[in-house]
Amino acid sequence: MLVRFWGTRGSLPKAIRSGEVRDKLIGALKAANGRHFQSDADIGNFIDNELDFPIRATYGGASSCVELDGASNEYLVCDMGSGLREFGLDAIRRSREGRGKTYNIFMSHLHWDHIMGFPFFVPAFDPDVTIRVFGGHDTIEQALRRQQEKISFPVPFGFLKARFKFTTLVPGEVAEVAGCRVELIRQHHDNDSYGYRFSCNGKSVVYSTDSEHKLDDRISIQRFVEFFRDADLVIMDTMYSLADAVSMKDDWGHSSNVVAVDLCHRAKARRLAMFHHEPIFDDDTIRKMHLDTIRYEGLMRKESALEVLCAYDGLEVSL
Amino acid sequence: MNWTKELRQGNVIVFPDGPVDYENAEDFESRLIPSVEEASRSGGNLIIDFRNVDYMTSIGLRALMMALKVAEPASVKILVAGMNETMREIFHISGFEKLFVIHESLELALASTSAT
Repeated sequence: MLVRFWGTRGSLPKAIRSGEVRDKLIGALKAANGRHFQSDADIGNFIDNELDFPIRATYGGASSCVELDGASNEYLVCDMGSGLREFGLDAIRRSREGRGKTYNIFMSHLHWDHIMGFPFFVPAFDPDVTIRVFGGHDTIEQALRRQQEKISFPVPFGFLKARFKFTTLVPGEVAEVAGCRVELIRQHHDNDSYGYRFSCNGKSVVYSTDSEHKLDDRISIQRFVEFFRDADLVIMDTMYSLADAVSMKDDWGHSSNVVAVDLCHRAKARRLAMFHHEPIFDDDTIRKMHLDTIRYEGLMRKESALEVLCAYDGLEVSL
Repeated sequence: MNWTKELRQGNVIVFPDGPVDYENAEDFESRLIPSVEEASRSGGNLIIDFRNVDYMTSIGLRALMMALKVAEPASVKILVAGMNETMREIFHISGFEKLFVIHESLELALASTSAT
């Protein structure tokens, strides 16, 4: 199974600024130090192997959208953040090459950064497309329709040609969708959010974003440990430092890198993907947070290692 | 967890012993909060000497945050001292180094309280 990250930024999409691009070029040229390259491939090797991530790339700026690919001919996606647009265009290309035209989309919740990609989701205009939307909230259809009302968007929901089906899921019950067994858990966030555990082809992926963990609520913590148990990949909201999450941003509905590692360690998960990056963070800040998280994992490790990834738009993780 | 306490120069000094993790964080917090209250009654500060604490997970850090929330309205300062390199890294990574006054040793922490 392949997990593709189409949008990884939290709260608000973030475009890279021209000054940041300039800084990256300065960093790359300084690292090259006058070196002469024989070919584009040589340059590519230099970029891929010798430049640190914040110099050669960017964590990207689209809001939450993650695809799980490989369990069936149908598409399976988490959230409709602004990354959904790129996903939709790529899916159209794949469907032209023979892939089916059924989309299964699981919603963590309905805050704007998680639905804003939908008006630009081009497959929704195709009469041969089926879009099934799943979530713990019973207001998903209302949220999508409201977003496209005339006051906010020129194309009303009723203009869309795809066939839609909205399904409200219940925590504790199991759904079978697109070759995957799907479970959900209610999370602490304004108006609730839901995390998902997908078990497909013998692999398990947890998508848990916009979720604050109250560390004194031992019953809740244990519920999440069990939900994450032995997962091959946990995609988790690591928006803040722990200090921020428990002080000035207490009750803002987000989590930290430190709590993510502690939960994954207790659950014996194999990989953690840091996700839902704070939009005020630049690439250097996110990279530092990633390195700090790897270090914390090493300090706290008692048993097998937890691999710590930092999600970026375009990352593909093979399971 | 093992826990000893001293009173010096009007300050309450506590010496938690052992790592603070999910297993004993409630115990840690249940001893820490009364120590803040005791420091408030004595008009001094609370010094936490971490010389015998190997490491602390997020739930232990949260207990420190709870202590800070009790201490601030009571005008009690919480000073931490004697952290090993691992604890210093944990404070750095979690951002807690910005929330607490950190001293190399108990003696330096005490000196800082007498200086003020």
